[in-house]
Amino acid sequence: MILCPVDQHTIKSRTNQDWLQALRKPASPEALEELRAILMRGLRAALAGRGNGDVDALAEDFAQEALLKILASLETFRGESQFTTWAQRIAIHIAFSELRRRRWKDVPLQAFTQSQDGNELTPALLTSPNSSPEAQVTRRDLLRNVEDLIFEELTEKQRTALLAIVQDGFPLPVVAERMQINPNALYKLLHDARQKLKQRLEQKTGLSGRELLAFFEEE
Amino acid sequence: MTEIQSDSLRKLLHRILTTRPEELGCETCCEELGLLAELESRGEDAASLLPLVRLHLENCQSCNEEYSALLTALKEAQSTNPL
Ligand SMILES: [Zn+2]
Repeated sequence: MILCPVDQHTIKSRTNQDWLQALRKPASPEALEELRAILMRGLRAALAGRGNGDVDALAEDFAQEALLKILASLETFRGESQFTTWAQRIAIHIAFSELRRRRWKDVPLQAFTQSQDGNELTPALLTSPNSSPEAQVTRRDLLRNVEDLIFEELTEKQRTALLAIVQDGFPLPVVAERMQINPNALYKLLHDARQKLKQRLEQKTGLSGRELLAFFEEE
Repeated sequence: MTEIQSDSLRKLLHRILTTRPEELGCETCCEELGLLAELESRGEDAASLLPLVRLHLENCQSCNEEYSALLTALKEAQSTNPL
């Protein structure tokens, strides 16, 4: 790797082991300041131009919060990446989680209701997807079926979360926080919901997910 | 109570039909972002090394946003200008 003179001068090259050693209690003040500077710089770059207000003040707050988190999580560092990359990832996650929380804090999760028009499935037409007038009709049927299944097959929680994300553009972690479950658990809940809907659509139409996708997306 | 818009149904149908049996959750994906960033910055084929992470990023806006931000931060750390 070629380092330019400025880098060699300003960034001490610590190995991952050096970092861990320097930050374990009692943490070296020098290493802490060095890490703080790295995080601040990364955060300033990542937050710039996003319309979040005073980038320097935000970067300082998030860097401080990230430092505490990093010091408390040293033993979970698995050494898969550079230590500083891992640290930056934690700082970015803290910053973006908080900014998402602020941006969405006044937007309520909505309850959804089924639209009123009729909804018949016509599986026969789906078996001949190439005939164009029918294809138009069946595409609409397919959508109506998705809507039916959303109300018939999903739990209230699955439905609310899925639609909050797809229709209202909620970030998944914000929905998770509102529902008081962790994002992985919510992801699992939604993955189960999508799998179930896919299965039911395949059963109803006698076509595979791949076939349905090709059919639905052909112009 | 809100009705579901047909545009949302269309998006949803696509998402349903592209569901894979195995997918990663946000936190699991997030833990791999550092590794992914380093692999991709070295020009390695991350899509085949970390296919589930790549797939999650294509489908999750929040994680994708954090990944882009991480790349920006790492690039900044490597840049020659210290300020
Ligand atoms: Zn995610």
